[in-house]
Amino acid sequence: MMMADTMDEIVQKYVISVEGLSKRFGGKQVLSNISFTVEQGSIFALIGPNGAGKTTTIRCIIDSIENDGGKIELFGQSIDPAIKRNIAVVSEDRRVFRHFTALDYEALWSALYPKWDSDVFKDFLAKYNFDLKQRVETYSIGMKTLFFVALAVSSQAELLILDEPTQHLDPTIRFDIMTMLKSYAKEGRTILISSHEIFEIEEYATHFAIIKQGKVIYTDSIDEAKERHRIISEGDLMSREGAVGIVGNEVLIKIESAESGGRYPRLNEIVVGYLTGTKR
Amino acid sequence: MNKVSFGDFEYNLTALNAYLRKEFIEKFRTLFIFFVIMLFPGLGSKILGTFFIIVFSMGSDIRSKKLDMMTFLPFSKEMVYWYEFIFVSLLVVLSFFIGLPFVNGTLLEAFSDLLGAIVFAAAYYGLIMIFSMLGMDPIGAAFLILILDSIFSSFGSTQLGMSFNPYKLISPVAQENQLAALIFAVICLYIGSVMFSKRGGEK
Amino acid sequence: MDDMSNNERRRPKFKKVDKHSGIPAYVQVMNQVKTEIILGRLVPGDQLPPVRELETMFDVNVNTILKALDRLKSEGVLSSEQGVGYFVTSNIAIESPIIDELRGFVRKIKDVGLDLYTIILLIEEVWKNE
Repeated sequence: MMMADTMDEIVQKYVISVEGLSKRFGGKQVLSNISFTVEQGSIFALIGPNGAGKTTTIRCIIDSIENDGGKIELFGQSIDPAIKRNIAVVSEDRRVFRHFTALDYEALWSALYPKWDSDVFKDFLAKYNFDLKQRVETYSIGMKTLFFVALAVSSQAELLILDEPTQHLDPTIRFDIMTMLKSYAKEGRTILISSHEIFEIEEYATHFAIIKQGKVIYTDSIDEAKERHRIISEGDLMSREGAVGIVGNEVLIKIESAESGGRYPRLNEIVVGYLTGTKR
Repeated sequence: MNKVSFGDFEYNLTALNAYLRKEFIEKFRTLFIFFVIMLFPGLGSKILGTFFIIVFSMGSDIRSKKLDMMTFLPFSKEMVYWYEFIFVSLLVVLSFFIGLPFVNGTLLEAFSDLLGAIVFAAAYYGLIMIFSMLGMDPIGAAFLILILDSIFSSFGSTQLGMSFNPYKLISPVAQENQLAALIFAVICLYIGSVMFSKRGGEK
Repeated sequence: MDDMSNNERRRPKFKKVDKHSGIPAYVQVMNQVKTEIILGRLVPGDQLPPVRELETMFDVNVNTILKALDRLKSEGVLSSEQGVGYFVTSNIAIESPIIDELRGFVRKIKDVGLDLYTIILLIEEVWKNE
C-alpha cells in the first residue's frame, strides 16, 4: 500500500491534535466536528463568532470537561497531570481566587510549574507596576488579563493556551503582549489562542482554524491560506469555480493553481468568506 | 485510566499541598464559624459543621462554576475530587484534636465520634457530588439529602421484625452500625468520584 | 537616496513584512531578496544573514524564512551550504537600461505631481491589460 507508506513517513508529533471532537451540553450540540493540529513552535488561532465553541474546545483539550466523541492528543499522548504541568492556561473569564494576592498566585504557580521563571515574573510585574501584596480581585479587568498572561509566560510551559489574551487591553499593552508571545514561540514553544481580533491574529499568529457552529470549517497556516485563495469581483464569478463565500461585494475563491487573476486575500477576508459561505 | 489521572507520588504531594494552601487562603474565613461548631464535643456538632463545610466549599464551587479555575491548572478532575475530600477531612481531624482537651466522655467515645464524622463527611461528600453530577444544584441537593436521610432514619427499629428499618444501620446521620455506615460511605465516595471525573465542572 | 555604485559593504536592506497586505509573508520575503539582487545590493557569492537574524529583520516565524529561502533555491536564485548558510547564485537579469528607464519614468511622474500609490495603481492597471 503506497498510501500507508507515505503516511508513515509524514507522521509528525503534533503538540495538539484534535480529531472529530464532539460535545453536547444537555440537549445542545455545542461541538459537532472539531479537527485541527498544532505544530510545535506555531501560534495557532481559533477564530470564530461568539458561541461557536472556542472556549468549549479549550475546556475539552485541557480536560476540564469530558468530550463525548473524538480524540485529543497533547504532545502525542492523551492528557494526564504530568502533561498538564507543561501547559499554562489563561481562561476567558479571568476569574480569580478572591483572597489571593499576586504573591499567593506566584506561590501557587511556581509550585505547580516545574520550569517557573521568577525573574520573568518579577520583571513583568515591575514593568507594569503591579503591587504584589494587593489582592488580584481588586485589579481592573485589563490588569487581570495582563497578570494572567504574565503568569502563563513565567510558567515557561511548552504550551500556552490563551483565551482572548488581548481583550480589555490598551493598544500599547496589546502590542507588548503580541511581541512577547512571538518571542515566546520563537524558542520552539507553542501557543494556542482563541480570539476574534482577526487583525491582531494576522499580525502574530502563524496558523488558524475557523470555527462555526461547533465545526472547524477551515484550518491552515496563514500564508498557505493566502496562497490558496483569491478575491475577485462578483462580476467575474460566473467564469470561476471554487467560490467560498461573499466578502462585501467581492467573492473569496479557492484556487487550484498559482496563475490566476484576482488579488491575494487578507486574513479577515478569508474568515468572512468562510463564515458567510453557504457551503456545508 | 486511573493511574494517569494522578501522576507520580511526588507531584501529588506538591499538588495536594498547593491545593490545601489555596483552600485555606480562599475559604478559611468563610468556613471558620463551622470549624468552631465542630470544636464542640459530640458527633452532632461535628456532623453539623461538616455538612456546612461541604456545602460552602465544594458545593459553592460547583454552583458558581469555579472548578475550571483548578482544572485549568495542573490538576485533574480526580485530583480535585480527592484533594477536596482530604481538605474536609483535615478540618474534621483538626477540630477533633483542638477540641480533645474539652471532651467529657471517654477517649474511645471521642475517637468514635471522629470516625463517625469522617463517615458522615465521606457519605455526604459522595452523595452531594452524585446528585450534582446528575444535574441538581449542589446546595439544594445537600439539603434534600439531609432531609431524606433524617426521614428515612427516623422510623422503625434496627431489630429484625415488623418495624425493621435497615437504612437506620447505614444512615450517615444515624449510623446505628458504624461498620455498615462506613461501607455505605465508601461506596458513595467512590461512585461520586467516578461521576465527578466524567462530568467535572461541566455544570 | 541609495548610492548603488558603492559595492564595498553590501548590506541587504530588509524590512518587516506587511502582515496585512494579503500577500503571503514568505512571498514578501522572496520579493525583498530578489529586489536586493536586482538593485545590486546583493551579488552572486554574497552570503545572506543567518536565519535567526532574518527572522528578526522580517519579523516573521522561522518556517516562513525557511520556506522563502527554499523557494528561492528552487528558483535558482540562492544555494545553501550545510551548516554555513545561504548564498546568492544568480544575477537576476535586469539590465541597467531598464533601471535607468524606470528612473526617468519616475522623474516624469513626479513632475506631473502624482504620488507613489497612484503610480502603483497605474502600473497594476497597465500590468493587467498588457
